[in-house]
Amino acid sequence: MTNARRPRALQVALVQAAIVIAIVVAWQFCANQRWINPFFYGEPLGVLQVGAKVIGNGSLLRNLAITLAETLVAFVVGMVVGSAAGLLLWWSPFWARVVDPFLALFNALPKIALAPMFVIWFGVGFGMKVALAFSLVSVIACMVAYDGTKQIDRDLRRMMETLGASKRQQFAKLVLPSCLPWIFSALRMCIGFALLGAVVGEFISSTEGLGFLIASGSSVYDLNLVWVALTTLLVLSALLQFVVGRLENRLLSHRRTH
Amino acid sequence: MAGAVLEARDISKQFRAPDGSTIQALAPASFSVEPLEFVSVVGPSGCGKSTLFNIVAGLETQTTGTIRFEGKEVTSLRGRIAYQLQKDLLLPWRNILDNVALGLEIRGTPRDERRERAMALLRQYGLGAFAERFPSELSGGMRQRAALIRTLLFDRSIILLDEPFGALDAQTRVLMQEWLRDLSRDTQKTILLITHDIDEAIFLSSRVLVMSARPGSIRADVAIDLPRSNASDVLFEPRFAEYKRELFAMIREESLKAFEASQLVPPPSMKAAAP
Repeated sequence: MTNARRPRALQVALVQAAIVIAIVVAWQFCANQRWINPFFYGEPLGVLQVGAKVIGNGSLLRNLAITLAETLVAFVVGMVVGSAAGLLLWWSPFWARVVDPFLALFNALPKIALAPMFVIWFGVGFGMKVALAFSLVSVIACMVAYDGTKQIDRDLRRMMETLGASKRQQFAKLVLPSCLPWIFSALRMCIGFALLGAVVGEFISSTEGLGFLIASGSSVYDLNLVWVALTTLLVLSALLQFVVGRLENRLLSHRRTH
Repeated sequence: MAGAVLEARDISKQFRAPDGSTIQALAPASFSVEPLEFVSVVGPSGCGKSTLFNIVAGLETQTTGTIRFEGKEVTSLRGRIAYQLQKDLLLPWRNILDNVALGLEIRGTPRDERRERAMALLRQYGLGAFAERFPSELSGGMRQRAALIRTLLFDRSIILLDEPFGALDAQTRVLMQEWLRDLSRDTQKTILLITHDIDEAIFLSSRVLVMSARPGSIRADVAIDLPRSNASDVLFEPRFAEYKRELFAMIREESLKAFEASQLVPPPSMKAAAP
């Protein structure tokens, strides 16, 4: 009686589950009635069969691991290199001004368009996907970190100067700690872009990975396989967002109270 | 002046405005400070008080003039004298202890030693219980006190304070003034203070410098001779009122000049905005 007007979490979850089940059942029913052609759209029971098969023979897990590895490598390297570059721009206002338009232009470029060139440079394997995902992540990290350095109170810098801090000390004791929250707050966005880069890289040219399963499944009209790979990608993406989101919150709250 | 610890002679400063014209922020200004003096600098807004302090502290360079420190001419005193800007400027990710010890940390004092010294001062000035707290957990007055302790712990013979109590409420302000007064009496420091508050200047100082309207120069040098004992007594001394009347008249006159000048010539910001 206390919270009669407020929807309860359990009820919300039940309705959500009911919607998903209704869609899946309706889909299967339409497919059975031949109202929609499973050859073009797939069907739930077929998806389950294919799913069981690719889980059983280990190919799903292998392809998942490939995509995950590409994503994580690009994410970590991209965050570190990009943030470091952004922070270093603080060091030299002259070079920051020189680099500024190039950075803006590169940021404006749809990085996916670089993929064919990356194939030539890095081949069709792991390196190309990492390069593509890296190009997405590092630019964002760089811009976020550099913007962070611009937000630093000018008077804090003068305070450091009055205490006789060298430029290195200013960097270590003021710039880096000031910018960490900005960099942390970009983590979740960047893991999303890393996954995007990896999967698109696999679309362009590959022999393995979730993106490869989707692309090759479509090319042979195995729509059930496409659904299996898509669902797996969805779960992977949600998991990554969740884990990195937790990490982000933890790092940020640590800084707030500590 | 043979005994002067700090001497600024004919310091002037010109800025180039965005529209290309030159602004004289500081007319040649000269003053000197003897060891252990408490000197306040008062003057109308925009007269160049902060610019003068920035130059003395080595954050800006003067257009003309020389600064002598302990008898020797110097190019920059950055890091050699303590300077506190208007805001408390505590680093939000450091606790009070590590904030206060920042100056020693920069100088390379070992961790245990600097913490010990910081803790001793925090205890002495009533912040011992807050050493592990973060700036966001402290009131404005406490933060300002922590900032002052940081300045003090930087351990320089001269301390410049630029309106350290400007942002505090009236009651806290009075308490902080009494605290600073005690502190200046206890420690062997030469202190220079910028303030808008004439009472604060008279209450704390042994000498008050009055600056003219922009371009600022030192218009008057008033020695304050009041018993330096208990706060409330001093405020009701007849001589306190006399000093106040004298200083008030001068500052009012300079403020009027500044106001009239601003009526004749638009300030640089407005000029720059014109097409």
